[in-house]
Amino acid sequence: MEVVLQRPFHEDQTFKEVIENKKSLVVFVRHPG
Amino acid sequence: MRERYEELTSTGYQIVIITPSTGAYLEQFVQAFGPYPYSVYGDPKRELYSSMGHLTMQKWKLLAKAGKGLLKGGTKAFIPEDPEQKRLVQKAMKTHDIYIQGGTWLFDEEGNILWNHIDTMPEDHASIDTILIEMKKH
Repeated sequence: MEVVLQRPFHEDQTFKEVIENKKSLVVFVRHPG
Repeated sequence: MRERYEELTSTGYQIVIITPSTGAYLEQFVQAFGPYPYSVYGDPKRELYSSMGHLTMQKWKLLAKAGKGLLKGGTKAFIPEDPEQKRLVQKAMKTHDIYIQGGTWLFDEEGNILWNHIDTMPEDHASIDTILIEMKKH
């Protein structure tokens, strides 16, 4: 949950920060596109 | 996903996409293919993938599937015609771990897992209809 994720044009965030306090649908893809 | 964004978010869920990419690559990608209505994040070391059980598939299995797709649809099945999009997709195929398993997860506000589906093969995605059914259950 503390894994740091890189977001284009934004500051990095931990996964916990991304999903906390929100119901979330998280989709892992093999590659973008 | 992009086409059914409103239907999905009308359930009260935010949509988060995780890719095995760097933020710098994603910046180029979003400029070429975007904009996207949802947030896209990069996990280039695939730490989140592995901590949640998404494994790298056996290469021969994936290549066999890719070969079938190539026979069926030719390179158009994989490679866009737009030059910038084509360059980025080809770069991703060379630089990304395209053998990593994808998957779909639902979390509540506290970060508890409500439901998940880890793809066993590239075509083994949870369908949008299935995801919507699971979202409405929780």
